[in-house]
Amino acid sequence: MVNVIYIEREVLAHPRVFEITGRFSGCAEVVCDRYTEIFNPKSQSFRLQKRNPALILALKQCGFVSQTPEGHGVGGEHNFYFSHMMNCLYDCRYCFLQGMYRSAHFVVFVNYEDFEDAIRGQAQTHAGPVWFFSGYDCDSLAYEPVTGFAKHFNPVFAEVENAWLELRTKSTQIRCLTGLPASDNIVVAFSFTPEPISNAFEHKVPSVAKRVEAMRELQKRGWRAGSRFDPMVHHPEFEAQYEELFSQIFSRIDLSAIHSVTLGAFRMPKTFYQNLVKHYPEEPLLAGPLGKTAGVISYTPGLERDIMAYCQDLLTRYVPDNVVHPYLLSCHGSAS
Amino acid sequence: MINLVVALMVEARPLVEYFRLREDRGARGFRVYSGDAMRLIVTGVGKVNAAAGVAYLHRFGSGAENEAWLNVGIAGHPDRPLGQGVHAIRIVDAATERAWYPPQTIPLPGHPAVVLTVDQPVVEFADKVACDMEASGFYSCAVRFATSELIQCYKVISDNREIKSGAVTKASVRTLIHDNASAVQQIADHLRTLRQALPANDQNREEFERFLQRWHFTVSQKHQLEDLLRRWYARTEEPVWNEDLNRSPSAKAAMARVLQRFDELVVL
Repeated sequence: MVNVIYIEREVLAHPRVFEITGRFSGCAEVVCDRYTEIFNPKSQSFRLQKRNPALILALKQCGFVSQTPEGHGVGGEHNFYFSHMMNCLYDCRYCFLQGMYRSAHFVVFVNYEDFEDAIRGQAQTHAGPVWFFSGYDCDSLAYEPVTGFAKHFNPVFAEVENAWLELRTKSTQIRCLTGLPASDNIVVAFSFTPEPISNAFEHKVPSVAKRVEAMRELQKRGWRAGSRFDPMVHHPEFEAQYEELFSQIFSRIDLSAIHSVTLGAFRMPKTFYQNLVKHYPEEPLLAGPLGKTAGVISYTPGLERDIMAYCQDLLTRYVPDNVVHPYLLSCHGSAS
Repeated sequence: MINLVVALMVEARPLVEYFRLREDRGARGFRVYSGDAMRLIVTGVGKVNAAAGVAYLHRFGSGAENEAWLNVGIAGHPDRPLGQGVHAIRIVDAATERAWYPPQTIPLPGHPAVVLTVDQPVVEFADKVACDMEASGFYSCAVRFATSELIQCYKVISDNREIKSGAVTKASVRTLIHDNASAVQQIADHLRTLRQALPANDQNREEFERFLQRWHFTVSQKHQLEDLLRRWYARTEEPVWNEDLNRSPSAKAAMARVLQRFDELVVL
């Protein structure tokens, strides 16, 4: 529950600020010059703030869309990501955001129209499909009741024929989509880890069963849905766990309509990992077995290959090869 | 440990009594009081004194990282009633216009308020902010020693547009602080709980020292050992030390043995 909202002076009169603040009664509102005054100072504890994060409403000034790191995509040639929000409602122990940001506060950039312009501009410069991934620095749908992000961008992507949007989520906030006609160029991608892993490391995340039901519901209404198994977390019983997970998902959804499946093993830039260890030294996930490859902390190449090979093989039972997009660190050498 | 920072003896007295603190005769240059997991320093008026007081108390105490810090004192506000407690949601230094935002991670008593730290007492209030003379010095110094969630500022309104600062007396200040002592206690309790949510830095210190006494470690090996012990105890409660390990001929061999056993452990 948010009890403080910081608002940049420049957006005080922005209609989206009125909409958002109207949803929080009894919240203290504090005016600031730039969100970075609150978000960036050194002396902050992500771990402590995560207990009760504040909301920051800000104006994104530049860099509305960025190219995705190499190897991240679902088969498209031109891949970009954009972040209307920084940080996430959920508290997943493997999440790189904990190591990337100093603050756990939620930052929402309210100037969606500037993101829109950048997306349209980028789409125009390419003849073929251009992918825009919205779930890099936040969960695309979890905060939807507050941000109205998907509701806003749905018609934008309907207008730009060669622009594709991936909404990546662990949430079941799909009402914003189920009430609308399905869009051909939006993919709602649900992230999963096996139930025991989810229970251990994904705090506040809806159960696997609930996410599968949300995916099924969207498919029934004609939406394109995908599954994301990234990060895959190693465990002595990972084979049985992923077998169970795949069965749990793929026995419930329409396999003929699945758009894409991606998978990648747990990995993180070294500096983010070091920050994470400072926050959670007692966390078993961060204890190993991990090694360093090209500045990225991940499972040793052999273990990574084993995990990936096993899961890829398992997936052939359910989905055609051409929808599966694996990310192998040992092939790319860097990770987001 | 809670570190209370107050400007005046008259503000300190009700807190010293409420928390049953005793004067620490070892302190020099400042009056320091100590009690059950709490210290209080009387810094004198102004942001420079407040900053100096924080630095002194940090050194005078354990010098440990991430202790909790709380500035308590009086402030003027144009229209808030006398005796009302406010907690700083934004601290602005009037001279430099620099601002700090104490994270509101714990439930804080009193109303949220912007605290403007001024160099001279305010005669006429210009904005709807609480005016004090220490908060910016206190906060800017305390963030050097603790994470900002553990640093808070609680002010009691002593004067407003109706009752001017000239009417503030020693007796009235004493009463104002006394009446807010339970609110200070509440903040202190929440800060203590919050502090406990931080990981302990010296969790494996005893074990670490045992290795250092037994073998010679280079600086780099010490770092590796620290990391190894962290990873070991993240995975298991089983003691790392055993007879087999004790027979290792060198630091390198000891770490290799721990690593070998570590690899056999399960992740969850």
